Amino acid sequence: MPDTPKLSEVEIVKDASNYLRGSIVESLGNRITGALNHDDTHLIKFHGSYQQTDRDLDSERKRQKLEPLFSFMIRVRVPGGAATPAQWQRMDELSDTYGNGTIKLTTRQAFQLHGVLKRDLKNTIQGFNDVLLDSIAGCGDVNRNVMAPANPHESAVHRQVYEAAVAISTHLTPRTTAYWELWLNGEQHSTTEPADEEPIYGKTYLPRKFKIALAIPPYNETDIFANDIGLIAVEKNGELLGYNVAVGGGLGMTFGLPETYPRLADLIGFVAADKVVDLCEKVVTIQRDWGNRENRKLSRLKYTIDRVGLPAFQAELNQRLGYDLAPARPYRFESSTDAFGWSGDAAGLSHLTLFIEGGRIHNLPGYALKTALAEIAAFHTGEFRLTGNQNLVLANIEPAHRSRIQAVLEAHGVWPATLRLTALRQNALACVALNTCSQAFAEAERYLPQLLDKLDAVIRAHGLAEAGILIRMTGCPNGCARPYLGEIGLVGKAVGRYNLYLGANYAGERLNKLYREMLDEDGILRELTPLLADYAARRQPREGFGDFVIRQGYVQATTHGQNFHA
Amino acid sequence: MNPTFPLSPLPAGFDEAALNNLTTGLNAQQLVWLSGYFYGQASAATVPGAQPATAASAPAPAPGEKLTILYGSHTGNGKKVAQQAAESARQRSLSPEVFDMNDYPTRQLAQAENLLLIVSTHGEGEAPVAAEELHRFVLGPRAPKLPKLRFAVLALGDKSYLHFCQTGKDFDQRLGELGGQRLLERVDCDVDYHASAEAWISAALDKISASAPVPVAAAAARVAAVKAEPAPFPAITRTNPWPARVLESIQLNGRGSTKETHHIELDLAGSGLVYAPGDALAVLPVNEDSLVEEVLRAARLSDTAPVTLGNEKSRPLANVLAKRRELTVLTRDVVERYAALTPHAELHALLADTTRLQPYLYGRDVADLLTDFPTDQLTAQVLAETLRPLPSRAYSIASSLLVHPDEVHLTVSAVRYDAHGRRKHGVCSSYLADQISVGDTARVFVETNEYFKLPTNPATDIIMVGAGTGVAPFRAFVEERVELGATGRNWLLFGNPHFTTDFLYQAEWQQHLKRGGLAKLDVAFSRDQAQKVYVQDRLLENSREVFAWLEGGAQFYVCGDKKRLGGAVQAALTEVVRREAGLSAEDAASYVRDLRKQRRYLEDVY
Repeated sequence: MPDTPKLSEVEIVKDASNYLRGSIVESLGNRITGALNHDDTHLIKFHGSYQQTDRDLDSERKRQKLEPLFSFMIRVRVPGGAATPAQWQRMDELSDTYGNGTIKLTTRQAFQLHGVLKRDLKNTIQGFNDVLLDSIAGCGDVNRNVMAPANPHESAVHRQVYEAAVAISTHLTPRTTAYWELWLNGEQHSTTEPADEEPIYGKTYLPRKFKIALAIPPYNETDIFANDIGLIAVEKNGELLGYNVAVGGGLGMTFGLPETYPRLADLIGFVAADKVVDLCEKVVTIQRDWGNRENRKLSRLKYTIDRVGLPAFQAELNQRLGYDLAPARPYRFESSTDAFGWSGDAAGLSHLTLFIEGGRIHNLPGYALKTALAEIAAFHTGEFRLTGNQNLVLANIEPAHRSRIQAVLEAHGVWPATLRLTALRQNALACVALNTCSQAFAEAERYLPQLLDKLDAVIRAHGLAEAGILIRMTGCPNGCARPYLGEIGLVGKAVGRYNLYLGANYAGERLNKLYREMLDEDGILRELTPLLADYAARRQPREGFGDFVIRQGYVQATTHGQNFHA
Repeated sequence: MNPTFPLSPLPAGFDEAALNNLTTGLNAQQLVWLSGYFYGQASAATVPGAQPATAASAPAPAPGEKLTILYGSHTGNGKKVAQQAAESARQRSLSPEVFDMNDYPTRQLAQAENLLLIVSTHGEGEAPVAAEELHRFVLGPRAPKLPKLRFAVLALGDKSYLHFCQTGKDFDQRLGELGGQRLLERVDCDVDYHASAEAWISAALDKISASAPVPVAAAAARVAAVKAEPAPFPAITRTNPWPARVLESIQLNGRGSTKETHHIELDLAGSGLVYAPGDALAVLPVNEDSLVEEVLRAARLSDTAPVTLGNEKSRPLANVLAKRRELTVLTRDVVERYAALTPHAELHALLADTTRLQPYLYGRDVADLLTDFPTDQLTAQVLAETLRPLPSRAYSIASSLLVHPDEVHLTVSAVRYDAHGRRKHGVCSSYLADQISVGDTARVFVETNEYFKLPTNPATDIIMVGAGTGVAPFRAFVEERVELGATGRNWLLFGNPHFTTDFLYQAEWQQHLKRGGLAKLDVAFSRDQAQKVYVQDRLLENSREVFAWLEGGAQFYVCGDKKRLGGAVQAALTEVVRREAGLSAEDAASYVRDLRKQRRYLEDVY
């Protein structure tokens, strides 16, 4: 580190923000612009919101002498992904009243509303607060929504793992009262009272975002190795013993900066179930103290670990824990995907996993998904569980409701639509990208379905309709849809141009590698068609596409983030 | 710096050296004073019937009958006619004095012997602001008897309004009741007033001159003198408009707006046209083809049928309908003339009942009338004579000539609606929005607005209240004040339905606010919340500051819809004064009335 560290702009803004207040009150009251004061655009993230513009309209509005069409994305935390029907109904209503009429289910099991205008932020936040949802720490340099498996029937220990996720989330939620004060008309803190305290974070919070996910083998649909902390449940005879702990995952990188790279978390040991919250806190505090606060491109925990070395990090962690982590227990992951369709459990309840293309809840002609789910929310007594793959589980459906739910889905065209899908499409992930994400270089969610129409033809022609190849597309290299864990990863580099990555494995345990750069649609099809043909012809039994391309030498296996670019 | 005078050829007996000898060491003010002094001496020396003075090239004093010319109008048309009358009067050796009614000391009326009164009418028969006080005085109980007075009234108006020329009628009737003697019957002018106004001027002056004969030679000399002065009218006029090329045409409202506002930039290069912020640009529109066809179809007339307008050469009917006749607006006078051609009982019944006629006229155009009451009595010539001339439409100019040399910018709201089975368009707004695009030309001329001007003192603060396209002149104001480095503060209050789509010139206002061109900017977007909020509400919210600005001498401007904005803003301002000055409602109203009187409360409402 340099002797005189020059803090990044965001660090200075956080420091001066009085625990995330900044001048947000003034920004909200300014009727001349739909935007916030510049510094507040950093702070609003901690409140769960990003200021965005409708990039489709930027140049048109400039000509019209109008400012860009500013609006806000609000990310609503759903720890472990479990929402009640009442919560679903409220999000559905809010998306119509204040948003763009759609809900995005994120790859981290959160709800996102898009297109909320500045003047409606408060009403929107109050709206979901009424049903006990919040957006604090939805974004920003703090611990984000904690992920947990969404399928309650898959394991007897599911409930305990889910509760651990909620406990971790609660423990690591910022303590500042700014959120309540700004959005929920909480009591203004008088200046004579002691200031807010953040016992875990401190007033400048973390150097960068922080992510935690839990999984129950053999399923890894939460992609735990992509997280700063990945926790793998270890059970014995239906009893939860604890978690294998992995640290230092994170997928974001920057084009042209080889010192940035996606990295999977390293397995460092085992922690008992009752110590897991404390373990998370200790990892967070090491990152708080050791993370890079000068260059935000190098400030995730993964770079901290690679800078100091894993042994040094482990030693510090053991020191802060006050004990040494036990060695990791054996475990095995088989897949990182969702199992679609109906399933049942011993208690007589049913569960239905629905494929949600791009995680987008909306109505299309002949496919009234949003309406159907709102109707179901009116009588369903179980949960709406968001999966890490942007899909939805209608969980714990009582026997009397099973046929009724099926009927609603059929009536609105949702059920028939799911029957025509290839496994490739069902496993596809896409981030929001254009037109609202300011980071995007290229389309993702809006374009992937069209690309899939063409790829599906190739897939079907080669008899691969049932082959669950993981395809993931993002509009930029920051990794929101975990593209570097796609067996086919497409990362936008310019409008209509993508880098193609190959060779991740099906269970989320190996990163892919760059195969071709700057492909347009024809290029993508031209490159993938012979590979898929070859795969259809020469794959071994149960061999995934990612394993196949490595075995055939199309790409080298990436064994660590640090050789991702090699 | 030496003053520069427009130099006319020196009269006999003078040369430059001689003049220099006489004026050495005098400054500009002294020169002006001297010119007036000698002017006065010369007029005193002039005796009717004597030989004309050798120095007749100086503006000669009119020795004849004294004549008072009063004008009261909103647009400056009244002033133009008044000036024209004064010129004609001087040519006839009369002695005219021209007053804006707003500045006329009412007590002088009792002494006036010859009076020409030119006044326009607004909205529902109301007097224009400048005429309000005189109107109240003359019609009120304190008006003096006027036995010595001979007068003539020229009423300016618009026949499409029910109370056509009402203010002129009021003055005419009341002056007669007070003992005045009419020089001639009142003349009521429609929007195309020029010919009638000229005829009225010469008829009235003939009557006055008849009682005060002037030697022919002297009159001729004075005519020569007058001719040497620069022409009082610009070369580009209604009858000689400038074909301005469209440089830019932008729809200002964002997607999804219920409004459609166009920003149009026109090229004035080579026209010699100048304007000041607050002036309007008149545009001569052309009716759209589909409407002309609809009228032809309804009239069952051929597009090529010949029509002769006045002394002009004959033209095909379609051309006359497109360029010379009002088709989009149906007015009482047209219906009256049309009814005379046809025995339709229903049409005559409509005309006889105002309560039914107004609703009938609303939303209907000439094609509707012809369709509803078809007749076979119509020829192309009769149709052309039945319809009104197509008037120009004036738009408050949205640009400063200093910032955009050789350009003029307009902010035009496209008027479109469905009525009586057809899609209808405002004639001029749709002409500008739909018919002409970049590279095309539109025929334009400048209409000055005497009243709606920036403060002469650049240090004076201004408060500008504009709704919708009413923001246009304020764009010109702020541009001009920024360019001139005016030190007075500028405060804009703007209103429209929606923030995201209807914040006209938003990016420019934000820049002005950032750089100090605007000291304050308040906005009201009426439909962005359950409870509607308007600019007048923002005035009230800021009452303390509004009042402080007024007390500090600020000028207050309002531009926009007369019905919805004008009255509401006045009421709000009165409330601001009542609240902040602790006055009674009556005294607050009088405070606001005084602002108007002092020309510090200025309106451009339509």
